[in-house]
Parts: sequence; structure tokens; C-alpha cells
Amino acid sequence: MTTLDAPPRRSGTLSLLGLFGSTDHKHIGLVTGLTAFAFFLLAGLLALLMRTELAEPGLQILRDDTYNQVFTMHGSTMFYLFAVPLALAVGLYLVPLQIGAAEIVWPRLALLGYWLFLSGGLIMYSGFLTADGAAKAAWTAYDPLSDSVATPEAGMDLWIIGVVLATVATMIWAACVLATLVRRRAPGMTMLRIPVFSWGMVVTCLLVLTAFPALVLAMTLLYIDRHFGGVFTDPGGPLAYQHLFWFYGHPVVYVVFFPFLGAALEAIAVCSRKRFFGYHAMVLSLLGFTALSMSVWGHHMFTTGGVANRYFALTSTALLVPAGIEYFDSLATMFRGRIVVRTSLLFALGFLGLFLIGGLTGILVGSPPLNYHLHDTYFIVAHFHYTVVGGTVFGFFAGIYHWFPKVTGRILGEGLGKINWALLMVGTLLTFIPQFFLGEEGMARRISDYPAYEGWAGLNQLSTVGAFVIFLGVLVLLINVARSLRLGRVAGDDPWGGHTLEWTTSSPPPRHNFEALPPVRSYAPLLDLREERERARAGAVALGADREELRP
Amino acid sequence: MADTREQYENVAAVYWPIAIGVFVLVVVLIVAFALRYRSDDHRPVEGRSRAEGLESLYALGLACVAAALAYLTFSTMAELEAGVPGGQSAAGEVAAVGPPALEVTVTAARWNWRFDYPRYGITQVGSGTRLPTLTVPTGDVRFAVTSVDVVHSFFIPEERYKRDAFPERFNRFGLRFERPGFRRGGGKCAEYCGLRHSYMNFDLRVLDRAAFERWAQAQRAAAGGAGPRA
Repeated sequence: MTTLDAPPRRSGTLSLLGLFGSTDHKHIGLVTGLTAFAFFLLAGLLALLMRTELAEPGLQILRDDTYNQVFTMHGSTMFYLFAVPLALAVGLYLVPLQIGAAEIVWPRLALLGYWLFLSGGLIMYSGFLTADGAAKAAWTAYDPLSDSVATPEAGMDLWIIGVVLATVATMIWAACVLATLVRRRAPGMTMLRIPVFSWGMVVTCLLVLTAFPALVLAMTLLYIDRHFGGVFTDPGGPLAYQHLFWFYGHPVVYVVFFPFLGAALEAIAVCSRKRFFGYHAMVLSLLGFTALSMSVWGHHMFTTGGVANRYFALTSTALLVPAGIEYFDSLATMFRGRIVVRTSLLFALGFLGLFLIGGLTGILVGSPPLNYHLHDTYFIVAHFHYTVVGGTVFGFFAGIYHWFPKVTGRILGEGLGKINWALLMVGTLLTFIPQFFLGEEGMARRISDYPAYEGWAGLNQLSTVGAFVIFLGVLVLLINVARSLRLGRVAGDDPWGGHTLEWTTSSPPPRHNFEALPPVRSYAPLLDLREERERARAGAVALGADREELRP
Repeated sequence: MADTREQYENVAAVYWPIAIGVFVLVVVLIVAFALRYRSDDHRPVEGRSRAEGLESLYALGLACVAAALAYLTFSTMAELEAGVPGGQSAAGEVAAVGPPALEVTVTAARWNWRFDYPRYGITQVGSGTRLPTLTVPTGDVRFAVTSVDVVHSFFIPEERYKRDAFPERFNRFGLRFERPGFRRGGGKCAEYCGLRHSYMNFDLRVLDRAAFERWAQAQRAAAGGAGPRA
């Protein structure tokens, strides 16, 4: 264990071989996370291109064809190459530490996953190097738009291969993480003592393993259809493709939500210096969420006239029950706590507030009479950006500020952290609130241009300004990380008074994570120890025992 | 046939206040707790960390809210579908009340619209320089929407309604037009369909019944069409 003043210990060597060939789950998780974050920055730049183009009617900086490539690659990158790989990367890094395991199950398979993911991303982006550019059939690649007649370009094929590779990688990681959760828990840690974040990973992995094969199937069929024909040619073909896609495409939204929900909840509990409230209800609600989220995909298809709208409206509306539990538990955890307002808590609370906008508008668009108007407009764009920026990005940032000390041994700057938070809050509100109004007024999504007579320029300009504020916020995070890696306060094992096992080992943890493990009697083993110490101290004081011994 | 715009407003009038109320309540609680329970005391708080009974009651309450919203949605959908062939409620109700509604067949193509009026033998289509115009009478109009290539979506924001256009399939529905007038770009393609998706709009012209009849006869004469087929 490190002492407070010693420089952080490096785990493993920093050679290129170590970075890219190590089977340490922490290395695989970190390298995957950093790669995913690089894709996030890339996709963010694409978003800035789009927002700049949309600030005024008429085409200013992009051509229609380029715009279509840009929004396709923005969405594809954010889902296939950023949010999903990141969700599994945080699991690869943290799950063994939270459940007291020395390793993940099948580490070499997990490393293979990284290489598949990286090649998938590079292959998808290599479309930009072809004569006709990258894929341009949107991240959904609806048939027949994506078939060999409407989109014959090679960029589409490269996109399909990239999606399959990245998705197979995700499935491999999910298998590794789930097997670790089932087989490698520390003595005493029953399934109902797994910390909340790791429970989020249990349900994430379940969703990946059950829903993602549908995407691999859809992509394989699409590839066969493009090159040999005959797959989606039936009149029901386009609808069948949409079913296959959304059977993956809705659960994926929860895959990029649960791990970051878990991160936000851990930050809330630790910063409230209080045991997470309603653990059992939360586990049930996560399982309920997971089951329901497998049966709501048709709400993406209300306007097709090809699904049982009532069924999917009912299941979609029912999602408010598990979501309500999640909010109840978060608020109850803060209630009568001893709250310390750190950046991690601010991001976690921002997560709650912004995701709520996405969740509530989700209930609205889950009602077909409302959906018939709002579907495929900017209202939907705003809605799901509140779930993925409010949910994934804010939860992830809460996690960065919470676990950065564990990963690097140094604490991220709080001053810059709060600026980082404020910019992202303002940016996220300014970018996406105007889009609700644009959608209500009938602005369709995926358009590079709109007529001047619609009068949408003002709201679009607000949204564009907001996007640049988000960009500044992310820039501040990068500066903060670069600064804190050199100058940050040394963290020690447990700078926050953490509740879970990862805070009992050194920062960063050694190759096999733990030298010794405390007894595990609940989902907050370190908090148990601290409470016992407090009780012993209070008891000793009450009994008038020797106070000298207790003085630090 | 139901007024889609009115149905939209009715459902929104219930959903929006609930959504905004919940949002305000939660944000106020978050901020209040973060301010009220701030503390420099580093000792952990011991206290109650579970309340299964309370949470079960709360979940039951949430389920009731979900059920109420679903009930509103379902009853509105029943009204929307009434009288639409292939809809799930009693078909033919509308036909018994007034004259049969006008039928328009909408064909979407990359990147243009064609509107066919089988009763009059009229076809309206856009050109390279001019948006197509959908001309309809006030009152109920039935649509059958299809596509010749990829998936499009027939979207009239003023009607608060859209329906996807699939190749080799017809989607049927009814809309009610209230206000006569001309709406530039009043219709759009809402489903991304490739290169010129952004420009796949159409103008909407709503005429009162007599004016529509005059327009239809003039169009038919201009096209040299035969007598009404309906």
C-alpha cells in the first residue's frame, strides 16, 4: 500500500508491448476506454461540422453528400465505437476491483476484443479514403436505402464490416465481464452483495449477450443482400430489417446507460457519506428495466404501420416504473446525508437532471398519437441526446472524477472540474432544448439544409452555440487530466472514503489487484468497517475506556 | 375519421403538465438536498438504508400513472383508427354519416412526390424546379401511401401526423383538413432517404369543397381525362 506522500506506483511497464499486449484487465479496460474516448472526440468534431452547417439556411461549409457522411459517421461512431465499447471498458477495469477478483475470466479473449474493436473502427473510418467517401445511410442503415442499388459505394461495405467487428468485440467483453461477475467474486460476496455499479454491469452484459447477436445477424444479411441479393427483396423485407435492427437498437440505449447510472449512483452514495439507499429495490428495478427494454423496440416503428403499436406503447410507458425507483433511491441516498459537493457529485446530479429530460420526453414519444408527429423530427434528436449526453456522458464524467485517483494515483483538479461541469451543463441545455421546439415545429432530422421561410435559423443558432460550449467543456476536461497527471494531489488508497473494495487497494492497483481483502458482509464492505470503527470509538468513549489509545 | 391535430393536442395537454411537474419536483429536491445536507463532517451517516414497503407502494403508484397514461393513449388511438380501412375499430362508420371521403394515393420517390386522385383521374407531380403541391378539400381525406424505391415518410406538421412510405406496400389513414389556404413547404419527407432528402418537401393547398371541385374539374379537363371513375 502506498503512503500519502509517495509518488503513485506504476503497475506493469509502460512499454508499447505492455500497453497493447498486456492481458491485465486494467490495461485492456484503460486502452479500450482511451481508444473509445478518442472516437468520442472525433465524433464530437463531426457534430461541430453539422451544427456549423445548420446555423443558417443554405449550404455553407458542406455539400449534401458530405453532410450525409458526417451525420452517419457521427451517430455510428458515438454508438458503435464510443458509448458501447466505453460501457464495457469501464466494466473491464472496475468490475474485478469492485468484486475483489485478481483477474477477469478469459483475459486473452478480452485483449482480442480490443484488437477487433480497433480494427472495426479503423475499417469504418477508412471509408473516408475511398473515392465516394464513407457510409451515408445513417447509423441505422435502413434497407433498401443501404442496399446495392441505392448505396453502391464501398464505404457502406466498410461500415458494415466495422460494425460487425466492433459488435463482436463488445459481445466478447460482455462474456468476460459476466463470467467474472458470476465466477470470481470475493469470499462473502453473494450476488446480492455486488456493488451497484457492478450490478449495472451484470444487466449490461445480459443485454449485450441477448440483443447484440440480432445486429450481427442484420449486418451479415445486409452484406449478403448487397453482394448476392435476395435477402430483403420480399415486400416485407424492409420492415424485417427494421425489426432486426431495433431488437438491437433499443437495448443498446440501456447498454450505454446502466454502467454510467451505476457510476453516478456510486458517486452519490460516497459523496453523501451514506450507504446506498434501497439496494434491493434498485437491483430489482435494474432487472425490470432489462426485461422491459428487450420488449420496447417497436416504438421506433410506430409510423411504419407494421407493428402492434398498443403493445409497444404499453411496454414503453411501463419503463417509468423502474426509472422512478432509480430516482427515488438516488434522492433517498442523499436525504439526511453528510453531503460533500465534489465534481463527481455535480456530474452525478447533472446526470439525474438531464437524463430526466430524456426520460420524460421518452414517455411522451412512447405514446403513438404524439409519436406520429414527433417521430423523425428534431424532437427525437433532442430526446435521445438527453439520454446519451445526460446519461452516458454525464455518468461517465462522474465516473472519471470519481475513479481517476484509483486509476492514476492522482486526484483531478476540483477548480477546473467545476468549470468543466458548468460548461457541459450550459452547453447541453443550450444545444438540445431549442431542438425540442424545432421538432415540434416540424423540422425533420438528418437534413443538411432548411428553407429560410421556415424561420428556424434563430433556434438553430442557439443550438450551434451550445455545441461549441460543450466542446469547450470537453477541452477543459482534457486540460484538467493533462495537468493533474503531473501536478494533481497524490490520492492514496482511498481519497473519498469509498464504500467498495477497489478503495482498499493501492492507486493504481497492483497487477493482481489486492494484497488482502477485508471481510465482505454487504454491498458496502469498506463502509461496514468504517461504521464499526465509529461504533467502537463511540462505545469506548461511552464506557470511559482509555482515550489515549484511540487518539490518532 | 378523427382530427389528428386535435388528438395530438388532447394527449399532449395531459402528458406535458405531468412531465414538467415531475421534472420541477425532482430538480427542486436534488438542489434542496444538496444544499440542506451539505456537511464537513467526515464520519459516515448510519441510518435506514432500505424501505421495501414504502418503495412497493411507490412502485404501485407509478404503475397506476403508467396505466392512466396508457389508457389515454389507447382511447385516443381508437378514435384515430375509427373509420380507417384496416384500422382496428368499426370500419365504415364515416361512410354512413356523410359523402365518402376523397382518396389520394401518395407515391414517394427519391426525391419527389406524386399525388393521384383516382376519383378524378388527376395526377400531380413536382418538377426539377417546382415543389409538388398536394391539393385537398376541407374535411376528411383518405390517403394510401407507398414508395417506388427506399423508405420515405409522408409528414404534414400542421396535421401533427406522419406515416412511412414503403416500397410495394400501402399505408392507409385519414386526415381532416380544417383551414383553407396555401402552406408553402407544408409537407415533408421525414424518413432519411439519401442525397436530396433535405429538399423532399411539398406544398399543401387546402380548398373549400366547391373550390376543390372546380380545381379538380379544371385539372381533369387540362389533362384530357375521362369521366370520374368513382
